[in-house]
Amino acid sequence: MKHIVKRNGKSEIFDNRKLYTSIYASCLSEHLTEKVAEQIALKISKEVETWLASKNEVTSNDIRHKSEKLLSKIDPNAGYLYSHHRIMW
Amino acid sequence: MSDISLLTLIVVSGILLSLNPFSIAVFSALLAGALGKGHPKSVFHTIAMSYLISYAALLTFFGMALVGIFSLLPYTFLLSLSLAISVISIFWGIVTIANFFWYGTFDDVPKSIYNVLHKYSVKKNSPGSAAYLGLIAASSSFVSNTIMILSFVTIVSLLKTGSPSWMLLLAIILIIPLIIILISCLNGTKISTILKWKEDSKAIMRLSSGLTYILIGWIILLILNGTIGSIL
Repeated sequence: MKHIVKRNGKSEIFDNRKLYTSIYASCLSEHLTEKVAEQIALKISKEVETWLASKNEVTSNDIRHKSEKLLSKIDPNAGYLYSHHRIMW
Repeated sequence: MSDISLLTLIVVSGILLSLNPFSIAVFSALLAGALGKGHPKSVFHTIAMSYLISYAALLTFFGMALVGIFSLLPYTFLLSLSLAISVISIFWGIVTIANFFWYGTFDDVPKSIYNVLHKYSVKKNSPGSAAYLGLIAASSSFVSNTIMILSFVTIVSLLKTGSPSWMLLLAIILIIPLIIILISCLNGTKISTILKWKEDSKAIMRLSSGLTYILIGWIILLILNGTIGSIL
């Protein structure tokens, strides 16, 4: 079980489903089909999990940056939305 | 000033003021959240409409209430108040124009509201939360919305065409860009495209709204000294 440090400083067990859901939602928001969104979300969440295995301590921000990078390579628009969804105001 | 001139003023300046980066961002986030949740089209429409109706309703209610209050004021007091409002509008226009050069320096939306906006636009995303979000968004830009509505109410009251329906018209104009965004989104425009456009244009939106505030303040001054009423 990998622990991650949240923005508020608290530690929490990494939940791959949360990552999957947020990437899936970003893809759907960009009008990608459910099937494509599922494939992308699955691919990225697996890659992030593999990447996490080699790390000692990770923050939720690290995971976000890594996911953004991976998503932007596959679909730059979905990557843009994923990276801006908290700072779009 | 004839009704046609007043209509032109409200439509033109309303459109310029409606191009507000903050309201565009909040609505885009709501649409992104609704699409991301994979709601059926009917729910998507209901969420968007709940937001638009509550946003416009709050501004309309606020405007109509002020029209009512202004109609009760003694005329001499109304003149003094109008002078103060015109000065405030011109000052706010200058502050807003400063945002064209140093974007974000004079933002009137409190940063503390950002998490609330995220919660109701993306996380909760239901017709009820969208309606609540509309109220939050309309009241978040408290300073600019108040000055804008006060200025229009002043013009309407000074011209003694104090019909509250002008405020309904203004509120409808203010949501036109959001309706266009909704239609574009339903026709396949990506939310990222809308957000990129908003980012690229937000400085120019500030400039145009700043100039509009100055124009409205100036028009109030011209009405007060009798220039406009006698010409139009």
